[in-house]
Amino acid sequence: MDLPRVVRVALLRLRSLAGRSRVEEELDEELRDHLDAAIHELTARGLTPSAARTEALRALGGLEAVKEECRDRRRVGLVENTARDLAYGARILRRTPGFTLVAVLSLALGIGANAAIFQLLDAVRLRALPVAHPFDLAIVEIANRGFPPGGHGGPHSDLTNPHWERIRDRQQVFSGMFVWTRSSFDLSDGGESRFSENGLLVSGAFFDTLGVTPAAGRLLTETDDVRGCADPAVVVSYGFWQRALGGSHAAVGSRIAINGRPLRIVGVAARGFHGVEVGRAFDLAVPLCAEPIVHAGSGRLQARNQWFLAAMGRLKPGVTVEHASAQLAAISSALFAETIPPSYAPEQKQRYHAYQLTARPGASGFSTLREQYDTPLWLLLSLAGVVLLIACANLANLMLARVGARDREIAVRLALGASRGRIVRQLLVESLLLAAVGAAGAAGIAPLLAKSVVAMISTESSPLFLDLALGWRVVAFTAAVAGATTVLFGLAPALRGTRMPIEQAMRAASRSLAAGGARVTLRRALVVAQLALSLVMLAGGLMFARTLHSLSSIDPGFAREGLLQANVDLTRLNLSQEAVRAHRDQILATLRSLPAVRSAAIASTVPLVGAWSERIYVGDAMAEGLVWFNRVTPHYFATLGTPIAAGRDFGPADNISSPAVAVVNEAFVADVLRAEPIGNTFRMEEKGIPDERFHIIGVVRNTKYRSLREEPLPIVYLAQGQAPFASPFIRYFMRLNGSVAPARAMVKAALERHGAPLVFHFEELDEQIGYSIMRERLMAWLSGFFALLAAGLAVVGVYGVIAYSVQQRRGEIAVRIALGATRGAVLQLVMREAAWLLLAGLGIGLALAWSASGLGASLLFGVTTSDPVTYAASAVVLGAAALAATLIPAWRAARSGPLAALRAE
Amino acid sequence: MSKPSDLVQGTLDLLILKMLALEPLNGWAISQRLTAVSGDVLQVSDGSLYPALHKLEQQGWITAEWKQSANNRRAKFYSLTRTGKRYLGREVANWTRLSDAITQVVKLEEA
Repeated sequence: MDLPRVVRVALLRLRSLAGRSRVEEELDEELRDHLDAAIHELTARGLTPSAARTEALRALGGLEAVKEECRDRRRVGLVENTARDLAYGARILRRTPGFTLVAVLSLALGIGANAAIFQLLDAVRLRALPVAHPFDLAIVEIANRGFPPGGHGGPHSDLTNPHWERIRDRQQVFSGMFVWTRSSFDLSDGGESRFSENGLLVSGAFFDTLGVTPAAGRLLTETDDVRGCADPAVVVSYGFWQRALGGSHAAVGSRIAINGRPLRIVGVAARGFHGVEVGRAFDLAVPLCAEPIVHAGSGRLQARNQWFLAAMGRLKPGVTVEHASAQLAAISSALFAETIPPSYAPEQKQRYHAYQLTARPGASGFSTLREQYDTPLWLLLSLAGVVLLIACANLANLMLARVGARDREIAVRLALGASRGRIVRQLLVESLLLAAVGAAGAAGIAPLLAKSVVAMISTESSPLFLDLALGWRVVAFTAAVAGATTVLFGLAPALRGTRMPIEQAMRAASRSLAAGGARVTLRRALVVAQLALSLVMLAGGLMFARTLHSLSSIDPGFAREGLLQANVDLTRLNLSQEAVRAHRDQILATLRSLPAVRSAAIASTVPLVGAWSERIYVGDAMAEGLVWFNRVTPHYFATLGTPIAAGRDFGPADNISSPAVAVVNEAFVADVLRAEPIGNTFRMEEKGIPDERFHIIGVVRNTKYRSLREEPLPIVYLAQGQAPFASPFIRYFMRLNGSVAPARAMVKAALERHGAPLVFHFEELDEQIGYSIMRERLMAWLSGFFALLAAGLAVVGVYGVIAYSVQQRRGEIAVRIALGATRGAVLQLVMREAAWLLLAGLGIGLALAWSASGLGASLLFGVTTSDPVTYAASAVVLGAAALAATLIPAWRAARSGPLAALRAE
Repeated sequence: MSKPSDLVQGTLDLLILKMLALEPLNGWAISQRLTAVSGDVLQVSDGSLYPALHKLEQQGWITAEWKQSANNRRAKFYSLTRTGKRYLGREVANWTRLSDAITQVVKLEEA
């Protein structure tokens, strides 16, 4: 029977693979037949049987070599050999669990750290929005805007609504365009607020422009967003639908309270659509026209100085971002001329008039994370890269030591007819096996590490949402790193191990004293490099730790612990100004009467997140720079714990009918007033009323206004009792007796007992401060973690080299001991070598750290990059750890008896 | 070691196929015949014969089966397959063309 050739070939190959033992037997038998016949023939010619056998084998060229070649010719050699190499490699690795553990762990941690940081970087920075054709999207903003006066709502407050309405009507480059702003929605029906920080106000074309489809119901359209809409529609995200509405289809069509107004849910956005902001997943989206309904009285849609919108458009086919920029620039002049805010000072008006709209690529969406965490993440990625480098050096070192120890095995295999390529392949397969196991470990570690980083920079009130799905980028990145690592640490030792001729290898293997001088040099160089790099890491980690420490021990100018803030929102009660004042004062009195509350006050601005700035006139001249404002009741300073340096606090007598008064801080006196403060006066720019002068009645110590890092800003406190307008949104600050939790419960009960139904919400300032140094905490923890990892690896490396060198010098040491060397002398002999390695490593490391110190400088606080204490401390710690590691083999060498060592030879 | 009589690459395959086209043979017999036919001109080492046989088998030109040999022992006999025959025909034609051409060149009279 003649099968088609292809089939038969396939069958034969299969047989060669599957029926390997039978094929092997047949090969054996065939060659044995041949030998028998040849020997028979040769003896017939008169040779002795043994001579005939030798001659027959010689003619064949070595039995094993022919067999190997036959296997190769069967073309299954590669698969078969690899399988055998793998099995052999696995057996070898199992036999040396210590080596395997260290190797796999350093690879897993090295690659895992890289993959995790890359995953974060990818999510924060590189990945495109999960919408249709993200690369056609462009962000529209003002190129030369700076920070104009007025209200700024949220982190992406690029435009005002008057801008948006004009851009929408005049632009010709986008097929669709929208604006959006983040908003916090209170979803409770009253009582203690349940805020979603992830509400969105979006213009009508939001979903259409992005190409998002509904998962249920319908999405918002242009017809939903008409100025003055009375019953606005709501679209919820898939996540919110599942989480808060139980994924029920009945939810579509039902109503949900948003800031106390029951609005209609019309649909659910597609699963996987999280909005256009990186790090955030939206919960609910309402049309922009609902702004006056959900934020009653804000007037943001009309105001020309309320910056709260961010714009994005989808480019028409064939239009580039540059074209779009050019057209936007062309409509800018008229647009800004029409919308100049009347309250602006002349020079500010001039600046405003020169504004130019521009477009930039918007594929990866909007992100504040990007600005905040871009540098840290790149820095962390390079730190993780260094860790991987050290891990690789460590592995190379371990592999070299193994190749050294396996000289004999390799020599024997070479002598038995194994080709050099075959041995290199075997070693390479072993390294690949290690890399694969290490990479698998890394794949387990990376998501854990990435998730804990996200948890570290997430807060309760604004949970960070990052899509950390293991995307192809991360997979490719990890695979590339693993592959490069394998070649780096696998191939070099394999080639080194087989380069020498067989005779020399045999000799070397049998006489350890003479072997591998060059190898030892390479290993020493690797260890020196490891030490140097980990010193850089340690110094960096220490600097970030000190940054965190200096930031957390900064005096914010108030006592941060035991301070509770309650935000009470009266907007839903629709009260008159008098009624707001009455409720406000009544609640304050109630809070002050609670035993858990030592003192209480009201302020318009929260410390560390303040944003109210004005220009003022001292005498007739406008003061240089901005002055920051707060409006407070009496006892505010006592409640916060800010000492009054001169003059007096506000009192009940400071009311609308009394002269306008102000308390200023010391920075105001030093930087703005530059005169005796008490009794002095100043005027505010925007008021424009020349005779409204504020009389300074007191001076308080400096406090942090916008962030912990800032230099003291000039601050003016105005009296709450003299406010022209009583805001229905009131911030109460309470200094507590005892711990927070019971006091909070007591305050909550008191607020719920209040006559009118209140909407309220608690904050703890101490916690807020913690959030404000989240980035620094992240840097300190991660760089510290990486530094410890690096140092640990380097110490293992030092140990390995010294242990190996002690083993190499066993004979020499034995002879020395036999000749009467003391233990101390042997110890010294070994330690001297270690000391040289250390000195070289630390020296190079210090130089490296010094030259690399500029990289993270912008992230540091309270510590300079040339801080000698940091460098010294890192060097001492690393040096001590490395010396301790070398003590083990040194001590072992010193204690060894001469006989044991000589016997091992 | 000089290699004056090394076979032109691929020629060994041709010789083996030709030999098997005449009758099925085992490895030893092929080795003997090659020596007998070509004398000392073509020294085929036994070491390269077997790998060549295995390769040809794997390629499907020849097939092997275990049969009783002359000395009444089981031996592996190779024979040509149908596709192997066609392949041999093509290779012979190629060889003839090539050797004719070379012969022509070699015979050129020097001017």
